[in-house]
Amino acid sequence: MKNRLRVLRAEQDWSQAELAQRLGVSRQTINALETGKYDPSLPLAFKIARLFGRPVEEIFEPDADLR
Amino acid sequence: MNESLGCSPKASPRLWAASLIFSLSLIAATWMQKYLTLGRVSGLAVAVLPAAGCAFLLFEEVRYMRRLDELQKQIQLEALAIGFPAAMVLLVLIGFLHYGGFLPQKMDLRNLWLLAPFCYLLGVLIARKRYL
Repeated sequence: MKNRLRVLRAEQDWSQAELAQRLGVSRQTINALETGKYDPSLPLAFKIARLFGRPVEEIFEPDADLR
Repeated sequence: MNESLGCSPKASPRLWAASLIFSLSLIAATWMQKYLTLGRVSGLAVAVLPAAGCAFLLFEEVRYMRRLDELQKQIQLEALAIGFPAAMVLLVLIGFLHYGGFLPQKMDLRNLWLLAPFCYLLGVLIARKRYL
């Protein structure tokens, strides 16, 4: 799954550590999300969407075979 | 960051302290069984000593796991999924080799459980490499 987390974080001028703190996860988790190595759970995806004030589908995009 | 929640694997001094206490209880029990003449009650107390250390470690481990975030829990799950079967395979293999006479008969099989934490650590390394 692709996501726009890095772009959205940059827009807010937040560091990975800052975003991690706001979401209540570790910095390593933010890094794994941004590099696409880990897909978040539904609750975390909604938490991210709420934090950035955007719908989930605007932040996360399924892989081509799931579209 | 979740360090404030004690979520980072580095932020668990209590877990390290429990590991140290367990190790010391093991060393103490081994030493006492080897070098002291123990009565029935004191012998039982010494035999149970490592189990008490292990129970404390288990309590701290569960407490630590509950504070991890979802990716860290995923890593721990994969580490156990790799480490547990790996340890089982090695233990069975060593057991059969030993009873088949392919390993020194004087070999002390009591310490084979040490393979389990090593296999778990190997599992952690493999899982971390995948996600981090």
